[in-house]
Amino acid sequence: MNWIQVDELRVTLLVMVALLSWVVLRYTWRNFALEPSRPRAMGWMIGCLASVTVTLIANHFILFWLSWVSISVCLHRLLLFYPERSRAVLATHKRMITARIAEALLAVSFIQLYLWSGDPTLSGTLDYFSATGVVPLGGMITLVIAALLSCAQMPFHGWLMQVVESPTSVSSLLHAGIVNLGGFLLLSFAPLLTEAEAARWLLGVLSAVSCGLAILIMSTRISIKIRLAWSTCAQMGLMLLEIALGYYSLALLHLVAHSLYKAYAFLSSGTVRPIHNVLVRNSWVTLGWFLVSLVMINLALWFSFGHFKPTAAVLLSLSITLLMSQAHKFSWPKSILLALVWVAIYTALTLSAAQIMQDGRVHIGLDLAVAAWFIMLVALYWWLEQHVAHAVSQRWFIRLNAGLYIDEWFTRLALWLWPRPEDRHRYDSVDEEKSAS
Amino acid sequence: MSEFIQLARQQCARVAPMWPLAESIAVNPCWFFTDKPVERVSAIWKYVSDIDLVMDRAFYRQQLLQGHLDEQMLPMDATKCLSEPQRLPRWFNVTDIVDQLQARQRKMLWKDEVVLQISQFCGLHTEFPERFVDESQPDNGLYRGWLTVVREDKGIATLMAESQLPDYFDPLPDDIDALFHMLADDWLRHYSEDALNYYLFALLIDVLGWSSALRYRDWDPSAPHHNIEPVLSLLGIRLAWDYVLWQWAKDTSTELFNRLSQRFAQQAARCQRDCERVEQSQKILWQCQRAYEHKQLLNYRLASKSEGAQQAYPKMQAAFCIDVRSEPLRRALDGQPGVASIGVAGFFGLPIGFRSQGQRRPQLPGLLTPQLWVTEKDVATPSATITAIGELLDTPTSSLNAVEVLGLAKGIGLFSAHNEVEATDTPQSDLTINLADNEQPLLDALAGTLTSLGITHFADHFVWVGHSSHHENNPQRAAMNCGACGGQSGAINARLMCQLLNQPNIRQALSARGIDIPERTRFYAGLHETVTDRILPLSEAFPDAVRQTFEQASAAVRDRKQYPQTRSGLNRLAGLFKKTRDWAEVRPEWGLADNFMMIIASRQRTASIDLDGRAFLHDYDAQQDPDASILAALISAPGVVAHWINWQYLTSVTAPTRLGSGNKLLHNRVAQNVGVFEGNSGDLRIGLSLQSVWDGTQWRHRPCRLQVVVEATESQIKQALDASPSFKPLVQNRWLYLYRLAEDGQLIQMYA
Repeated sequence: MNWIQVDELRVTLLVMVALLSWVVLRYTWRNFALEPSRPRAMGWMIGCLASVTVTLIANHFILFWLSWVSISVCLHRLLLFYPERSRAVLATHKRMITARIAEALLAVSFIQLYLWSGDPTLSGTLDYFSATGVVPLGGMITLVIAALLSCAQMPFHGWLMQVVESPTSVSSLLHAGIVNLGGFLLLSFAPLLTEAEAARWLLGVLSAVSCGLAILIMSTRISIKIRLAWSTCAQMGLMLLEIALGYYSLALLHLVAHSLYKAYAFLSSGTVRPIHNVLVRNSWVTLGWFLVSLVMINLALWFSFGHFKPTAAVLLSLSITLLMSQAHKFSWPKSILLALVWVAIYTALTLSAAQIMQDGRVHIGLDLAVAAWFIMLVALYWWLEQHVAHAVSQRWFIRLNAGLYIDEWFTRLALWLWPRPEDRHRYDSVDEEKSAS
Repeated sequence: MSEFIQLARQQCARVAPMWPLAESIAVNPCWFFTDKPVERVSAIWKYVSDIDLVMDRAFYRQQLLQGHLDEQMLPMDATKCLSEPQRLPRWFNVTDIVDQLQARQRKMLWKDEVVLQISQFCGLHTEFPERFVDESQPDNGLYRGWLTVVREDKGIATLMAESQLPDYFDPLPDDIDALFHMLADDWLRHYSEDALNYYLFALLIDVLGWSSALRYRDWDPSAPHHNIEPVLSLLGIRLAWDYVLWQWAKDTSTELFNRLSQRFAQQAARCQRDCERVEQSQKILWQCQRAYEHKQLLNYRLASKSEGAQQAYPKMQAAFCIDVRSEPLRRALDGQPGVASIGVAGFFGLPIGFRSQGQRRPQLPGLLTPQLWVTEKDVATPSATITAIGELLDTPTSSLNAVEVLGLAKGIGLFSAHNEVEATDTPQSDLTINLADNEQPLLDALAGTLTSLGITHFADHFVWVGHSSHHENNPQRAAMNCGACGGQSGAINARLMCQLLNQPNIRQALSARGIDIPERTRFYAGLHETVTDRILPLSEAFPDAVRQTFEQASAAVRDRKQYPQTRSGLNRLAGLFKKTRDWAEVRPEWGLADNFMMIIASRQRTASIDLDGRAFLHDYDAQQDPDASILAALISAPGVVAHWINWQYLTSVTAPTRLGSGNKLLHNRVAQNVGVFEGNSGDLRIGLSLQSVWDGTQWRHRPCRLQVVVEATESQIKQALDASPSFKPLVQNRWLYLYRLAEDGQLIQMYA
C-alpha cells in the first residue's frame, strides 16, 4: 500500500509551496526580529507548511486527513496570534465552525469512497474508478462541499476577511497557500469529478455565485487588506468554477498564479500607493469593444482548443475591453499590440498548464449559464458605476459594502457558541494598577 | 438653545489634525489643549476616555527604585503614594453604560459596533467621494451620507440582535444643525455646561482618529480654528448613535432605561468633582515625571562660554537639519580639524513645494503653506503602461482574468528588491524653478536663513545636508523622513539651496543685502540617509576632502550608535544597507526616538558634549539678534515642530493603544491612504507604531517633555516669548521646559 504519491500536479504544487515557504518564512523571521514571540510565529508557520507538504504528497486517506487537520490546527494558533484582540478571537471562532464541518465532511467522504472501492488510497480509488467506470456520487458531493467550505466560499466566507487581525505574513500564508487546498483536493479526484454530474452542478453554481458577488463586494471596500481578502474569496470561486466546468488545466494555472500574486500583494501591502478601479468613460464604445473582443476571443479559443469556452472568453474579453478603453493612455497601435500579447500569454499559459493536468469533459450547459451570470453581473456593476447618484445604485452599493448581510448571522452563531468571557475589566471604573500591565 | 452647537464647535476645534500617510508629520494630539495646564488636560483625557498622557504608577515606582528620579524634587511620601492602588472615576457614554447594564456576553458590544460603523462609514466617504461627497454641504455631505447608509443598512440590527433598531434612525433630522438643536432642546436640556463639555469631548475622542483625519481635510495653517464642519458632523453622528440607543432603551426595557438615565444623570452631576479627583490622583505622577526629566537633564553639562572654542576659519562647513539624528554625525564631523557644522531647520527656510506628474507635495513644515513650486524634468517614473496594466488587477471586472495572465509575473516581485527610493534622492538634472517671477521671495528666504544662522565666514566648501530614510514597504515611512520638509525627503531643499547659492546673480543680490559670499566658496548638496548614517552626494560629486570627511564621520557614528537588530563590527554598514532594501523590515531605524532636548545656542557650547542623539540643535547667536526677533521665529517654527515630534513620541509611549498606532504587523492602509487601521477593527489610528518606540523588551523612547535651552539674555528670551503666541503657553502650562544657558554653562529655568 502506497502511503505517498508524486505526480506532475503534485510536483508543480510542491515547487510552488517551496518557493512560497522560503519567501514567507524569511519575511516572518525579519518581521518578528526582536520580538519574544518570534519562535512561536516561526514554529507554527513551519508546522503549517510541513503539514501542507504532507497533504500534497499523501496518498493514503488517513495520512491525507491527519495532515489536513494538522494544517488547520497550526493555522488556528497563527490566526489567534494576538489572543487579546477580541475580533481576532471572533474570526477564529467563525473559522473553527467552518473548518470542523469541512474536516468532518472530508472524513465522511473518504469513508464513503473507501466503502465503495475497498481501497483506502487516492491512487487506488482512481484505479478502481477507471476499471469500473462507476462514480460514487454521494462521496463526490460531500467532497465538493468540503472543498467549498475550505475555500471560504459564501456564505462561509466571513472568517477569511476578518483574520486580517493576525500578522501580514500569516494572511499571506493563508491567502496564497492554505485556502487553495480545496482546489487541490478536487483536482486530485479530477477523473471521478468529471463524471459526477450533480456534484459539478452543485460546485459550479455555488462557486459562480460566490465568485461574482465577492468580486463586486471587493470593489466597495475601503482598506487594502480587506480588498485583498474579498478578492481571494472571488478568485477561489473562479478556481472552483473552472474545476466544475472541467477546465482542470486552467484551474491549476489559476491556483499557481493566484498564489504568487496574492502572496506578493499581501506582503507588499505596506507600500503606500493608490488603488484605482479603472473607470470606463463611454459605455457605448466600451460595449462595442466588449462585443468585438468577445467574438474574436471565442474564435481564438476555438482555434486553440478545438471547442468554445464561454466563461473563459467572457472574462478574457472583459480584460481586453478594459485595456482598450484605456487606449488614450498609450496609443492605438500599442493598445492593440498589448491586447494581442495579453491573449497570447493567456493561451500559452493555459496550454502549458495542460501539459501538467488533463482537462476533463467540458460541460457546455453549465459553462453557458455561468457566462450569462457573469455578463449580468458586469452589466450590474457598470450600471452601478455609471449612475452613482441614483437611489437604486446607492442602495446596492450599501448592500454590497455590507457583504449582503450574510456574515452577521454567522457572527451571532459564533458568539452564541463561544460567549465573550465575562471578566474583561472593560467597564469597571478603571483600576490603574491593572491597566498598567 | 444655540449655545449647545457652540459648545460642540469648541470641542471640535480642540482636535488636532492628522496628515495623510504620504505627507505624515508629527503632531501633538493635544495641540489645541495647550492653553491649559498639562496636568489638567491629562486629567480630562484620563477621565473621559482612559487615555494616559503620563506614565503610570508602576513605571515611576520602577524608575525610583533604579535611581532614575531626582529625589530632591519628590515629596517625602512619594514611595507610599506610588504604591497606593487607585480606583479612578470615569465618564461613560450611553453606549458604554448600556454595554455594562445589558449582559452582552453572547452579543456584540455596542461600543465596538458603533465605533466600527462610524469608522467604516468615514472610510467610505473618503474612498468613494463620487458617491458620498456633496460639495454644496459645509461638511461635504458627511452627515447626510451617514444617514443614508445607516438607514439602509440591515446588517447592524441582525448583528446586534435588536430588530427594532433601524426604526430609530428614521426620525433623525436630515440636517446637522437641526440635530444639534433637537437634542439640545429635548434630551440634553437638563445638563450643565460642564457636563455637556465632558460629554461632547468623550464622544469625539471615541473616534479620535477619524476626527483628526477630518480636521485635516480643510486644514488651513493660517486659520487653524476654521473649517471644522466635517468634525462637527462626525460629532453629530456619534451623538446621534448615543441618542438612538437612549431612545431604544426607553422603549425596550423600563428597568434598563431607569438604570441608564440614573447613572447618566449621576455622572453628569458630579463630573467636575470626578475630574478633579483624577487630577489630584495624578499629581504625584506629574511630580515624578518632572523628577525623571530633571535627573536626565543633569547628565548633560553644556560647555561654558570660555571653554568651547570654535574654529574661526573652517575649511568646510556643513548645514544639517536640526533633527536629533544629525547630532551624533555632527559631533563626529566637528571633531575633525577644519570642519564646522551648522544646525538649521531642514527646509532651510525655503517656502516651497514639489510638483511631479500632477502630484504636489509640500517641502516645508506643516504650519506653513508653500508659496513657490519646484519641478524636476527627468524624474524616472514607472511607465504608464505598467501602471495601467497593473490597475487591471484592482478592477473587479478584469481582475479574475488578469490574475491568470499576470499572476506569475507579479510573483517575480517576491524574489526581487523593490527599491522605493524617491527619484529626487538620486538626481539626474537640475531642479526647475521659475526664477523670474519668484526672485524676491526666494532672496528673502535665502537672506533670512543665512542671517538667522549668523554665519560671518563662508568656507571654501559649504554643504547643505537634507535627510531621508531609505527603506521599503512602510506605510508610515514619512514619519522617519524630514518633519521640517512636510514628511518628505529633504533632498529637494538641499539641492535648491545649493543650486541658487552657486548662481552669481543671486550672490550679487545677496551681497546687496549685506551677505557677502566669497567667490571661491562652492555650495554642495548632500543627503543624510538615516538608516545607514551615510551622507550621499546630491549635487556634482563632492571634492575628495569633503567625501573623506563625511565617510570618516559616518563610520565613527556607526561604530558607536545603537541600531535596531544589527551587530557591531566590520559588516555593520552592509547589515544596515540590507535593512534599506528589505521589505519585511519593521524597524529600519529608531527614528527620533528618545528625543529630549532642544538647544538654541552657538555650536561651541555643545560641540564637545555627547548628547546621545537626543537633542535638536539650532545655531543661534544672540548678539546678532538685539530685538529677539530671530529667536521668536526660532521658537515659534522649529521650536513648535520639535515640540510636536516630542509629544508624538511621548504620547505613543504613554498611551500606545490610543495615541499610538499599534502593531505594525497588523497595519492596514485605509481609504486613499488617509491612514491605517490596526487589523480591520475600530477607529483610524494616529501616532507612531509600537515598533517605533518599543524594542520587544523595553521602551526605546524615554517619555520626557522637551527641555528647551536657549543661549540669550533673560530679557531677550522674555521678549521672544511675548512675540510667540504659540510657544509661550507651552512654557506657561508645562508642555515643555525652558532654560536659559548662562555663561558658565548653568541652566536657569525660565517661566513665562
